[in-house]
Amino acid sequence: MKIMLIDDSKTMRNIQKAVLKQLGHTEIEEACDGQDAMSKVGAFAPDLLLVDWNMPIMDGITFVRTFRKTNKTTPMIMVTTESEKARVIEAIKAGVNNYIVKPFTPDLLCQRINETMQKISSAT
Amino acid sequence: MNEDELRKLVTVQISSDHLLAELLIAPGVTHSELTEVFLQSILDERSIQTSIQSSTAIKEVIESHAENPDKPLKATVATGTPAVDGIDGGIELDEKVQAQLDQINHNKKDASEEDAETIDFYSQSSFVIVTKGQLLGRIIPPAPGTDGTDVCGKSIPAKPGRACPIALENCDLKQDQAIMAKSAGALSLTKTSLRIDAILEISKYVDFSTGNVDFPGSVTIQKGVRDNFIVKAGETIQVFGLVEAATLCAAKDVILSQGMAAKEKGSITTGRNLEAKYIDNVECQIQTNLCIQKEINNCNPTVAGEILSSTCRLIGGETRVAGTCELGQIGSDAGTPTFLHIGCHPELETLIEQAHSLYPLVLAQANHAQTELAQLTAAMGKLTPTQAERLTELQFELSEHQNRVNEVAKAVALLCELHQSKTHIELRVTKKIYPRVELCMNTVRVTFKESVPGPLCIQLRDNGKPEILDVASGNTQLLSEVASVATDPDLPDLKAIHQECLILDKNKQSEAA
Repeated sequence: MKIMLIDDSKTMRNIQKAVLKQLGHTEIEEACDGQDAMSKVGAFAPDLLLVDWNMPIMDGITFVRTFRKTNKTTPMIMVTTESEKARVIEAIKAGVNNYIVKPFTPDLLCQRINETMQKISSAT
Repeated sequence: MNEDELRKLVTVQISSDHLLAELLIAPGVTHSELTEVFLQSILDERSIQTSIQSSTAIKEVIESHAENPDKPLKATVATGTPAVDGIDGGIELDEKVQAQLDQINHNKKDASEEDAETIDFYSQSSFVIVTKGQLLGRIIPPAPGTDGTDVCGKSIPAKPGRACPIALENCDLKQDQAIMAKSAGALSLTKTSLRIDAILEISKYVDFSTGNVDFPGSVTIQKGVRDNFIVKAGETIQVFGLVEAATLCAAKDVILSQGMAAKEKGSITTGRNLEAKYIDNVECQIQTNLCIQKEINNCNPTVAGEILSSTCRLIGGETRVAGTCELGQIGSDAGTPTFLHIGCHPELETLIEQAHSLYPLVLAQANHAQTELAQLTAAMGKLTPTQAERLTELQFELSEHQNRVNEVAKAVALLCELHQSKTHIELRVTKKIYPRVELCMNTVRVTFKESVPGPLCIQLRDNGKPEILDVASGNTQLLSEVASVATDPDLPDLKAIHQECLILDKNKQSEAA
């Protein structure tokens, strides 16, 4: 499975990458903001995206909205410090499939990824 | 002078191989009589092929004669071309192989005094060892040669080179006539044959005449192995004579028809069994079984399999064995201190010790990360994005540490299980155990102060206490009744370590659940 990590913090991307590797995922692409992700997403064609909310140049919510205009199906998980209910609803409306609030444990990240993928596969 | 008289004085001499024609002019011929036409006619009469060189030679003869008409004159006027014989076919060895052969031939000659100071004579091998698939050389076809021509223009046939039939054994001959080794082995070469021997048979001693031996297959030595020589084999080593203070190293078995007297300097390492009549003062690493007929004297064998030597005396030294140990007697009348550790696998025990020593370190790191995380979480109110990310980092670090703790516990438990599967505590003695024999099993150290007659069998009970069975009567008693039995805290308690790791693993699993 191909996974794209979109976060301006390299540390966070490394953490997510390590967790994904533990889960057996090795095809991983990284982007440091929404715009960077838009430029890579076509060629990489990910099966899952983990998106941070607050990023420079193009933030996560703008990226989700832009991406969803052309791609309705690829699952996305918002990984963010934005924990208010209104924010969660906003993200879900924009098109994310799941939501993780920082700080999170590696176990929680694993759980959310598995959960999302299971939902997607049972829906199809 | 008339022409007949003149022809008697001017003659041509042709060499026996017909490659040289010389003009001989006796005294009495006048300069006017010696013309180019006349001399050419003389050569024509003898059917000598003339050339520009001949014409020049004729002119020079005439000039020389003019200077000294009264002296006899001899001059070469024609030469032939000798035939170049063909070259016989044969083997052209590969550079590497040839270099090895040259080195061996060089070694066989007496070394100069200068060499004697710098050369390691032990390492001068007298065998060409090749690897499987190695290029050995090439078969060279015979060359036909070039015909020659005699002074009369007749062809001199060249002798063609002869084909040399080469017998190849254990070699592949490729289309381009390249010879490749079919298997690894020792190269044996004659003018008409090339062979690779998968077994290296040494008909004499391994000494300065052979040098050290490092062979990929099996090695058979008809005589013995001298002090300080090394014999390494990719398979089995068999020695029919005495092995002195040498080093034997075989990936499979070492079989000594006699024995080894190593003078505390020799060693044996096997990938499988060691069989011998006796071994004396030898360091041994045996990966499977040790089978000695008569005596193990002052040796330090470590045996990963079993000791199956029911007629053998074990006297002195320190013996460690993983599996069952069968011996004739242990110790001696003279009370030689003899140490025997059964159910012992030093290689695995070292690994367990190393892995187990990591455990407190990784646990301390995990605890430290957990404390730090707890303190930070307590100190922070509503988290800023930076704080939230920092906390995620700490969570990740903690998780990594916990994983490490778990991995170490799992590794130690696995090693302990492997140790358990590879070891067995059982000592059978057919004749006697003498005083001053020390026996270790798990954490128990037994010291024999009195002789204990055989046949006997020593094992550990379920409660860890050693018992002794009198095989003749079938009676069993605690070993502590016939010898001093104590728990030695220096001996690793693998059972306890295993238990500790299993509990940790269980805890981790229940945490995860």
